[in-house]
Amino acid sequence: MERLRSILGPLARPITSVPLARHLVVALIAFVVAMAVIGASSQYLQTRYAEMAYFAIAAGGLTLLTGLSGQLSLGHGALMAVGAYAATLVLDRTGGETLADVFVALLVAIAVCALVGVVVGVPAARLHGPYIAGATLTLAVAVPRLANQWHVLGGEQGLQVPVPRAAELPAWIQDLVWFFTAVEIDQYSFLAYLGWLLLALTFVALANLSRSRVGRRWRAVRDDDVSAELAGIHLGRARVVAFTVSAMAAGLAGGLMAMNVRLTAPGAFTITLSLTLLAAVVLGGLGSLPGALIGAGVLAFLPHFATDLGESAGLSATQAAEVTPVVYGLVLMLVILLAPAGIVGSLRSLVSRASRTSSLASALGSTKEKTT
Amino acid sequence: MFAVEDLSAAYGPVKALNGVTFTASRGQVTAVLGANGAGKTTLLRTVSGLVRSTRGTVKLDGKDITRTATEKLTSYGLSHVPEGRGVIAELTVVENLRLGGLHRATASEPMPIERIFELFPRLGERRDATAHQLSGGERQMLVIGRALMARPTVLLLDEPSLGLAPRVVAQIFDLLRGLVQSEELTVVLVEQNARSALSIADHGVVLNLGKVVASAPAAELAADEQLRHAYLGF
Repeated sequence: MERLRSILGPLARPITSVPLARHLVVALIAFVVAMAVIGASSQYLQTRYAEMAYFAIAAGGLTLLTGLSGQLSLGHGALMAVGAYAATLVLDRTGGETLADVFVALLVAIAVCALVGVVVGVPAARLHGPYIAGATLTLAVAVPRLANQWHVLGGEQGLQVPVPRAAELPAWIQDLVWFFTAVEIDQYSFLAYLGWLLLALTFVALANLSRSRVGRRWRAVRDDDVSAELAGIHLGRARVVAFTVSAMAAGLAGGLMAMNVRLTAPGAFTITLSLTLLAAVVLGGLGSLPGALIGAGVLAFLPHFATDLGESAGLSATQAAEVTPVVYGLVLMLVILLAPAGIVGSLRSLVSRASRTSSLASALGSTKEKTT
Repeated sequence: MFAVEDLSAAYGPVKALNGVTFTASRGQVTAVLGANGAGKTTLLRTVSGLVRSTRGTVKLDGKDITRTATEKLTSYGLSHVPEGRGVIAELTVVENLRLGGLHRATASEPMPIERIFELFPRLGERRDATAHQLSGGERQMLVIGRALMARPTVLLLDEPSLGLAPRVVAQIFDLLRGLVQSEELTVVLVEQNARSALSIADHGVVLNLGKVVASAPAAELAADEQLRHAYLGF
């Protein structure tokens, strides 16, 4: 029996003890749940879910960069712009009618952003703290202006983005969606499904990366760069890799954003976008992927709730829309005051405190039994 | 043989090292002693390339490593344990140790982690604890273990006794002594705590204001009352 167990040992282990498998299982479950929720939602909410997905992808990349490798980027909005324009230009050329066109455009967006990530990451790797923030801030300010410089980028008015019509999607996708949600796929739900599929894939990749040797290197560089260097880690290389990975996520998010907004214009990629992404990351909990998801959810849904709140308080529609930044600011301040580790960080410490008290209680209980 | 020759370094206009020369032999502990600001830490930092030398050379078994990039030194067989125990708090004991064997992944095998646990049984007991849960002594063992993961021939240790209880210091020094014999290591030990350093060292180098003022077998230094009073404070 013992021998059998020792042979079967690695196989008999629950699948969830292998990080890669665990991440995949969690992502799969999350995606199926998301599909069901999206399928049952109104068109307006589907668009919000799609928005949440691309914000979460960008925030996931940013939380890895800032939380794990310790580089603060105020320029991720600009990287999203790069991804958005790259995807838009590709979709413009190919017509954007088939699923293949969509994936090609997104891959190009990721590739272009990887390149930009290396170009920006190499000088940024030499900078620390406030200096890297300053350098990436420059990116956030300068990049959207480039659209006005070249005719091909469409100037202030921007570029229209073609996306596939649902009727032109492959039959098996239409059938699959029908099977899971019992609702015909349309253009809006398609973009939401696509967003959540790519979100699940991105988060699995990022989660594995952060658990891998690469992730451990980033933590070492963040916590103690001298020790990391003495342990044989090339600081510059580790930082550039982190920046590039993060830029690729921003590129993918930008490409998805272009398809959802249907218009790529410099006005969408102001410094506010960069700061909002950072706020989402801090809100959820720095360095945490679930935190990035929650932060993105707040970003996507808060305007909706704030407007509702405003209208129920008797404000006119335009006035209610102006409530959003106030509520957003309040939420941010409350989180920083009450949960400085972010929403996920606070939940985690709450859970561990609860389990500690319960184990303490059971330990006390057992001693009491002994004494009696 | 580890040889430092005429090594000099400066922080701006302030000369921190001024022509330091000494050698450290295999299987021996060489203690670098001196008061605060004598240049002990700067000496190790300059050897590791964390501070740029202005003059002089560092040789490891005849090979000049003076201008080698810091992160490459472990692959030349030189490991430096910095002052202040730079454990990565969020990672576990095992993960911290793995960091030390990183560069070996492509070349030869790193030291098996189990070997580190044989040397430091205490670390083995706490292998899955995160580093921030460790005591000061355990952290010191962890950073020494991490440095050993790269299979160094030369181990530079900066103030391993700092902030530790005397009993723990004695324990760590005992472990160190054992390591030098079992692993054929060359240890360069920088210490403020001259008395306990000399008790385990074979050779001592005394620095003052960036210069070597004495270099002799440890027993001789410990016996020289004048020198002890002037530079070592005991």
